Amino acid sequence: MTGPQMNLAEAIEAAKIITPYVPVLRQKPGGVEFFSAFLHTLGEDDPSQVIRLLALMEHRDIEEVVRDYHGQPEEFLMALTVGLTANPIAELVEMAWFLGLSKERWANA
Amino acid sequence: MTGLASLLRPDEDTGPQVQVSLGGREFSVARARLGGFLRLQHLRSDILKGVEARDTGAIVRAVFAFLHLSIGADLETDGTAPWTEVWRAYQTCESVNALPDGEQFNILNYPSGGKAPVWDFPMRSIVWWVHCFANAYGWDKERTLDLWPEEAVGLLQEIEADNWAEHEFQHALSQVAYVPEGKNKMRYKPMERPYWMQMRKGGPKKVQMLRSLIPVGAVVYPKGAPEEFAQ
Repeated sequence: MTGPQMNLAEAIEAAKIITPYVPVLRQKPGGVEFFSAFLHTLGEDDPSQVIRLLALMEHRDIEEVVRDYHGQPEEFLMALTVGLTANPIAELVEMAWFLGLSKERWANA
Repeated sequence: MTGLASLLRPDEDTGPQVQVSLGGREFSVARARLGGFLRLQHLRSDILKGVEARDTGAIVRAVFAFLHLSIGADLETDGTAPWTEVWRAYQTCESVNALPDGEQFNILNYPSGGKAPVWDFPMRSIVWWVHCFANAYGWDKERTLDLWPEEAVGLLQEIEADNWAEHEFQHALSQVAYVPEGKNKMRYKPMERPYWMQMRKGGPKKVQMLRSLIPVGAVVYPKGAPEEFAQ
């Protein structure tokens, strides 16, 4: 199951959120480890960025996302998984690198 | 002039057409000639400015303007197209418009200076190229802007080298080219060539040096080197 993709502006904003964590994330071998590391690193630094990321992927306001997923962590994680499946992190990172937004790239790490 | 093969790559098809899919439509993209190439370069620098300012709106506007110019058709997209589609289209247009064999031109590899003059303005590069070819060959705007970019760079390198040879000749006739050396003797002091005329392919030769011998303090770069102007 994949959700709708972000537009370019949303994708650039999402890339700005994700790229600082690339060195940690690309070391993770499997999907579960990767996702767990992603939530931990991002969530520890600034939990609001995880919510903002989901809001970008669902084309919605942060307030709306907070209200809709309040007290529903499983649904929140499921929505995040769906969003990241439709908008692959590896491609977002490569885009950020190509544009010059980040020095880190996903491929050939 | 349109449709002529490149002077430098006559055996190759210098006008490739690639297909780009955007907003549910298929577009055919051809490599831009000098005029289009310079406008695309200008948009590339707009993207870089947006990246430096971390201004998402500016980046998006410049990317869509780049696509619009490369494709040469009304995209009819309001920016809601899926990002991977826009992204792949941009990469395709970028790669088809990359300067082929750009590394063979010393004038590109070792540019002198780096600061824009005070009379600089957006798109001045187009005016500058037209001026150079009009001055050297008497060509009109259309003829210059219809060159393949690599042809234009190759010709420009020759024009600049010729101009420099002329300057050197005039300099040698002048009194300022000679400095006194000893009694009743003058020594010829040649003009310092631009950085790109001094550097061989591969750049400066690297030599190993003891750390204790490396000087400390401000680095003095060769005259005209781009690093000399770095902030």
